Amino acid sequence: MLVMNIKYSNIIILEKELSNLDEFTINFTKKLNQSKTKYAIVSGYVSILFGRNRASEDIDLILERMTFDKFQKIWIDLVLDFECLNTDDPKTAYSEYLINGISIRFSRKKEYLPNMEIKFPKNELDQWTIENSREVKINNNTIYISPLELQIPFKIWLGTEKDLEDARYLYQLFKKDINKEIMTKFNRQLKIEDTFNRMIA
Amino acid sequence: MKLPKIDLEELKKFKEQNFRERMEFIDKYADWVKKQSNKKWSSEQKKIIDS
Repeated sequence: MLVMNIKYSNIIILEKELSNLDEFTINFTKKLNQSKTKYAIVSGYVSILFGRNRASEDIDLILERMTFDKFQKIWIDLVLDFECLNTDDPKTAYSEYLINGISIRFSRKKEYLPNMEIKFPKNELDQWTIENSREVKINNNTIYISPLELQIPFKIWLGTEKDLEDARYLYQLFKKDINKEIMTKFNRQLKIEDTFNRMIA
Repeated sequence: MKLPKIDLEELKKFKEQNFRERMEFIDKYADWVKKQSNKKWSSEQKKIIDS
């Protein structure tokens, strides 16, 4: 099935003219893909990826919980092209930030924006998100995003005007294709059914 | 300096109306995106995001 020329099956296939933010995201996640690391992009970038016209200075990414050894291997690869804005020591990044539920940020070397905000899963919902992340092939590059059945309800739950606009945009694009049963369950759990019916559907 | 009187209820209505209009625009934009080629909408988006 085609939605805005996106092939929506298990893998969403998208060809587009890449923005600076797209290129940053693709180059960063390429390194995670190479090390077969599970992750999901969960931020407003998901709606920007599919055409929403707004800027964002950061991209939120949930990274699978891993040992320090694995993290260090990924770190060594990442710092070839990116720098961590919090610390230049992988041990500190791992044990003082990520393990304690604090995110770390990476930007391109000698740049500050945009940056990738990374955290380990903090709860069952985060874990579910990376376990069920959705593969997107963008100009033949692979990135993994939060399932739209959760991304839309979660944006509604966040509730700022920007978040509601993102939710509405994604819903308008994908309403024929998303699993409504799963989304309805998330709506119920997040107690946002009224808002969904009033503002999104 | 004499400052204007602020009617908070009126401002709230304007804010709500503005938000409704934004949401309507989102729908129109999503419809437009669905009808365009990827090259067209992503080229327009790139101009905005990279500017």
